[in-house]
Amino acid sequence: MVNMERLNRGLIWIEQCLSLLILVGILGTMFAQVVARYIFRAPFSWSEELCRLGLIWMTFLAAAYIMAQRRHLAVDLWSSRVGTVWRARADLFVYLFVASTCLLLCLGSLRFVWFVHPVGSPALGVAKSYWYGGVSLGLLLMAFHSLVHAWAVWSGQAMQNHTATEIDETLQLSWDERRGDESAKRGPQ
Amino acid sequence: MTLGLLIVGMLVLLFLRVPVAFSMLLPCLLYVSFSPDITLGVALQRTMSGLDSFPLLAVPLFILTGYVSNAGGLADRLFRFLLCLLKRVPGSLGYVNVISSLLFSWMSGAAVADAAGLGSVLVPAMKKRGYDEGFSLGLTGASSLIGPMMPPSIPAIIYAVAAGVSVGGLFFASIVPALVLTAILCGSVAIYAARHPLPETEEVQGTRLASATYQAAPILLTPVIILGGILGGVTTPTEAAAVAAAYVIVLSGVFRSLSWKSLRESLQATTTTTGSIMLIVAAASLFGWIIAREQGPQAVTALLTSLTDNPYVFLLLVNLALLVVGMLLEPVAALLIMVPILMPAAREYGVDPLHLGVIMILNLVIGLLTPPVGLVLFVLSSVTGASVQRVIMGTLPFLLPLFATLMIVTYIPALSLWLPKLLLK
Repeated sequence: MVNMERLNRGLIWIEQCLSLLILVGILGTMFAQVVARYIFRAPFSWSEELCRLGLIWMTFLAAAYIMAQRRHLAVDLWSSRVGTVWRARADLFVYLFVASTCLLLCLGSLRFVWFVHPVGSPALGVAKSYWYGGVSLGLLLMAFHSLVHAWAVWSGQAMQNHTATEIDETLQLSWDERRGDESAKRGPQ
Repeated sequence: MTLGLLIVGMLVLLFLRVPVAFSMLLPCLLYVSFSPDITLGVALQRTMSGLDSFPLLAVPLFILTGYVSNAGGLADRLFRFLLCLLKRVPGSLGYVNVISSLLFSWMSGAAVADAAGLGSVLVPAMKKRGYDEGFSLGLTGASSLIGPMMPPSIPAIIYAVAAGVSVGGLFFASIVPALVLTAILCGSVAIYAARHPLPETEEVQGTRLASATYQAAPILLTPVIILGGILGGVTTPTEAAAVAAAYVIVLSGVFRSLSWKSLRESLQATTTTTGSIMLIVAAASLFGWIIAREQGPQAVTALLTSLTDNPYVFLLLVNLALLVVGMLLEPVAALLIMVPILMPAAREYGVDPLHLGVIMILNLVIGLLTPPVGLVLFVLSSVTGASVQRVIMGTLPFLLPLFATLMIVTYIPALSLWLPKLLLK
């Protein structure tokens, strides 16, 4: 279990780093595209396609670590009104459900990804399997993180109540830290 | 029948707290699995194609602009500038609250960023100056809705991509309605200031107008870069987003108000928010495709046209439906589900897609202020330390000006269509 925890944390770190690097890459490429067009009068033909590919990979890598952090947007209408046991049961259902959805789409479409491998994209010539591969990899990682959570609930490890508002927790925390306002750090109840 | 099962399945899963994206995905995957003529490969293709869009690239870049503006203290500088400018006006902090949101909205297209950034500064300042806490919270919450209305608005980009209309066109269409909302909220402040004794002169320690203007002027160039670039045909909205993000990063660096740590946190927050939103976009792409395949839009159009042939009644029904949807769903998810359903019906009634976009966005962002899923309510509670109940009570009176704006924008299409027609001939 210790190894599993280490693997989970390692994967989260890799997912965060890669998604951040891709974002920087998208920003840099788009900015360079404008500079190349107006200053060097030599626009790139590949920048748009590269950024679209980057967006797909960034989305699914980020979605994977967001799953690990249990911060995907959800509608929470009743969990605060029920006891910990019922909430844990509901969480277990959610994690198993998410894992099965991801595995169904990922494994069910593997043949398709293999089938489109020889097809290249128009500008970069990148095999289409790398485009769909980003989605498949992201789904696989999300399934893994969901199963880790499911195991944590099943084995009775600490559970937290996560609501839709946590999407902007990072923003709030960074803002609170800058303000030095420790009291505002508590999450929405 | 199939369509009904799909929607009921999604609602049940949403109720069970399954994340929004997966609540849409599983019913779709079951549909695909039981359909003899489509495979899961097609489902993967439709899911990915939702993200394979150049205009959508503007979303993470505008989110980054908003986060960096917040972390780099640019919102603070705007706030101090407005405080110096309006300090002699009765109720000045109320006006500063609304106009700060207006100016900040040129850099950030999300209400939560505005509420988190300005709420933690303005609400305590207003309380200190004798404003009622409920009024301060309500005004901050209501004015934060200017953010997703005014360009660069994230819901506007999502709507434009889903509806197949020009992002620039929708940006320009939402400017006047956002200004109407600003004016109506300023009117609310004026009424409050007339009824309550408030200090006329408010001092800003160590800040003079000239200095505050000098510090705020470069920030005010951001909308010029974004809208000027798009309008002048110099950049696409996506490129304008990249230039604006680079500009605010450089500006925060020049002001020495953005550390490497803050920049890294802003980048990470951007990937987090983008990952959440874009996964919903991907899932909604498959969901929308299946709805279209099952002829859902045609069924809704037939139902609506059987009820009324009056476009005004149609718009009223749309408003009512969207207000309910907005109470339960986050605006991006709601837009992606509702646009494919409502767009064909709106065309049937002769409603312009840009006008419909503005109406839909305004309706759904009002949901950010209403329980049970009002994100702005929770953010305000978190950054100000006020209870959620207190925030809800404070925002309730502001639903009136918001609904008034909604009615004006709905029934005067020229407010939305005049500027795009003038500028994008």
